[in-house]
Amino acid sequence: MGIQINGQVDTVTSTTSGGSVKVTPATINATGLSTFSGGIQITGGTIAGVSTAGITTAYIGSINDGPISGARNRIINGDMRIDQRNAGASVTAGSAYTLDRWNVDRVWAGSTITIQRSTTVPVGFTNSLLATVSTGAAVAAASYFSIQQYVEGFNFSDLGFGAAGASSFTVSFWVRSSVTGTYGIGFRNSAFDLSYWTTYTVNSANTWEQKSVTIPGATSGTWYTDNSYGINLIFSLGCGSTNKAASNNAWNSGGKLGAVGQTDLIATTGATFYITGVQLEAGSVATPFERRSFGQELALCQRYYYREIVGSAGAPLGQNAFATSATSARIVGKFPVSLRVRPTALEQTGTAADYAIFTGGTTRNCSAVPTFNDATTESWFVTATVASGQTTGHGGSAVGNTSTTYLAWSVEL
Amino acid sequence: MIYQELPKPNPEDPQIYARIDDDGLCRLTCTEDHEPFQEWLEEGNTPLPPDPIPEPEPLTAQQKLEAAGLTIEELKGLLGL
Repeated sequence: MGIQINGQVDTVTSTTSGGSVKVTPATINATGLSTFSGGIQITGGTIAGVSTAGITTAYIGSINDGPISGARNRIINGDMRIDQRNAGASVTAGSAYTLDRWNVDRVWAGSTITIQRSTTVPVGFTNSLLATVSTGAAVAAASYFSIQQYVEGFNFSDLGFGAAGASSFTVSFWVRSSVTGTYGIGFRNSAFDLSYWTTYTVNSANTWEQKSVTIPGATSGTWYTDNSYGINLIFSLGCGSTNKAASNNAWNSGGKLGAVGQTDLIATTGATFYITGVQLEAGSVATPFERRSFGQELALCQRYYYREIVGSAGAPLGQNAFATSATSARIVGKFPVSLRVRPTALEQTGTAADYAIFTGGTTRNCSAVPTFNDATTESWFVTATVASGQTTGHGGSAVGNTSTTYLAWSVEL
Repeated sequence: MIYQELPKPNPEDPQIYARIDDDGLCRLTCTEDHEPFQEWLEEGNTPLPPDPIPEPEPLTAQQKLEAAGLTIEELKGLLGL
């Protein structure tokens, strides 16, 4: 059964279940009704002036789906807060990691570019990545300069790249540059034999602008879905003819490193380029930047790089240490998160006297820098050397002699 | 930059290599599986041989006592002094 009211406003007083109310065209005055036990189905038109007061999550099936779901952003440290290696200090860009997860790749002669975590930001952010061209130089055919991030396959595999039905994705970011013009942004597959380049425009010098690009899914090519890299996101600040894409806005063969018609910022001495709020998400909509707590973001970064800094002179490094001979000790520790892969190297300050071993009640400065011994994805061994005096088997701890003494392991992509 | 083998105090220890930067400092040590080290080898480079293991400095009498877990008084008692 049902009640049909045409062209007028009326009050439905019947509460008979199983029926329906059809209003054509009119308004529904639901004052006094407590429930719509069968739900409300809207098959056309629009809804206006609906109050959400009283709506509880019990009536929402799921918001964890589509572009408003959690864990949208596949980029780690997209807001540039984490800088374990340099703690905000400026470094001359070689081909190396700078801010956490952000890598500089360059083949460039005659120019000097520095990279630094900056506090010049758009509203809502605390940090950005700043590239400064200390000395610019003409762009040679084989030269290029890229700021990039490799996204782990585990974090990109759901887009289904390399097969029919691959999902499109959208990259959004804030950019500020002293040089206006067209800039290249590109993507490469795992095998570096397929790439997509497009452009965005910096309209006003030294002004924060938010940009977004949407990239169609690639239905062919090699795309790793494990702990190796799934996709490579590249912001190009310069690229010669040898490595430029054949065309923009298409998946082309070859792991190219620049867009057709892009500006070569690094040819301009004194040029600055800031970027932050970088987000890569499935679909064609650029949603607001996904906020993660500092602890969450740091932990995500530590899967790829972990630096243990003592923080104050005399503080311990690692969990404990024990003497294996009169001159040798083993330091042991545990990583705060599981690393991407097993490390094969250890980084330290380069100065032996920054480190000491405390065993048997005596602290002895190291006579050589600590060295890699072994590690798993969960824990680590480091070998330390002192001049003499230890008793085999005596336990204790490793000690940092300066506040900046550290041990570090990199398993970046 | 160059790599150098590190001495192996124990034969069962893995071979570790030190990367010596242009300023003479070692800021990284690694196994032979380390990818940048492998790339360096593929460029035709060869690591330097290890430095000899330095002889440990001789222990002082006090250190020898500590290693034996004795005090001077206990030693005197043992010797009947």
